Amino acid sequence: MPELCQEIESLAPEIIRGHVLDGPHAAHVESCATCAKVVQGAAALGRDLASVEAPEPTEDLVARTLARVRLADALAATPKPAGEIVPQRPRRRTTAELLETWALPGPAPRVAAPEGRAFLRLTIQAAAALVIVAASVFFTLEFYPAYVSALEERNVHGCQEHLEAIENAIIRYVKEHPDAVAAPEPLQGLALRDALVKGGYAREEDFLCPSVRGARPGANCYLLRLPPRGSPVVVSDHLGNHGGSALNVVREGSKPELLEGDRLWAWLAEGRK
Amino acid sequence: MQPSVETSDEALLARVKAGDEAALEVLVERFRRPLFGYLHRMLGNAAEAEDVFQETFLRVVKHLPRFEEGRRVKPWVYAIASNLVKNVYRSRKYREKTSIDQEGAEGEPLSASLAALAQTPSELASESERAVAVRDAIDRLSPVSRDALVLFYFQGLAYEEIAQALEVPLGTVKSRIHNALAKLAALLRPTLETRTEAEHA
Repeated sequence: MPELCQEIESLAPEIIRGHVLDGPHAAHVESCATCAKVVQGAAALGRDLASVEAPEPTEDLVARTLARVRLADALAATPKPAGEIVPQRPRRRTTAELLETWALPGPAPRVAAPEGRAFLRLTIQAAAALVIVAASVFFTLEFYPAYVSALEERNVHGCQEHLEAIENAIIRYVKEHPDAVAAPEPLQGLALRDALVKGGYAREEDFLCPSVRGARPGANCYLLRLPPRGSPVVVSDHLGNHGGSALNVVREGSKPELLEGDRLWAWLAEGRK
Repeated sequence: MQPSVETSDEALLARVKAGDEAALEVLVERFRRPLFGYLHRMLGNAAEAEDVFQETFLRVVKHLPRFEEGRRVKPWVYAIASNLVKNVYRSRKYREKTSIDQEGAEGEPLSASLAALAQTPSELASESERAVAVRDAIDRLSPVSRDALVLFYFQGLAYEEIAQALEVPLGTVKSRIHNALAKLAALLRPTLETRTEAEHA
């Protein structure tokens, strides 16, 4: 679009408002049919808008406006009466104040002397603190052992799953390496763990007992050894993983179990035979 | 001393600030027709327009201490009035069909609308019919478009003054006015065409 056409388009609102083009703009409109139509249309729209009469306000609008302004000023300047009762929100009572009312039977105590009131408040606060401490101790004693027991039970169960995984790994390893059991020094401990992990028979985390805090991948929490030829695979915890007198064990052909007391000693004696 | 008619709005407001009530009267009288006209066109009825007119001057007096020296009075008064109009719209739960974001998406450009309007022989419609058609078309504009158009055409404010009154950038004012005029021309064209055809028939 030529520059003058653009200028005339941008001047259209002014033309509608009554602006008359002159100079190069007027000369351009003479020769440009498009711009001539734009100017003609703008003039027509201007005439249309001019046909809308301006609404006339009432004569007393000014007087009424000033009266309203004066009234607002007067209201703003009027001082509040001295004796005016200003509604106040009730003061929030403190916990100690509420306890004073609730803790004692009958109507709320009326202690006039400030010293007496302070002593009463202190006494009630101390009693409240004592109740909170007692409740904490009670709940701790009641529920903590159960919590610890549930946690350990979960750990024992997790440990048994690891033992089964290791047992299966050793069975597969022995099957695929029959000479390993006949070696002069059969693999055991960390060497066996490494062989099982590297061979893809077991995972690193299978060798971590959930009850042993701080055990990291790479460690071994179990007693591992290849069984003598013809003997079943046996894998067990280290003594102490689940407390002083309990041991998780698994024997090939049976389920893992947690041995304690006499059963543990019997199992150990059987192993010595 | 009575303020003369030639005293500027700014000088009058300074006197009002100093407590000259006569100056306030002159100022209110000076705005009586134009501001009422603006409010009537925006709100569509005289009672609400008068109420908002009075409220506008209540706010002018209330906010006098905040009026910055060097600022133009006319855009400030219209800014107050425009905000009050918006409050009325809100209280009416007025829904703007065309938001500011949608501006520019109103159809053909102003030059095209005007060129098309030029081909319509609007002279054939009677003066009163034309006025009714134009008033209807203005009422059908969105509030933001109508606001800009009324301030520009009927109140005769400059672009900069409208920008101050509506508290929007200058470019927004120009585009709002262009859109309003283009839409108005487009709205008027079929009305006038229909009427012309009816007269021919």
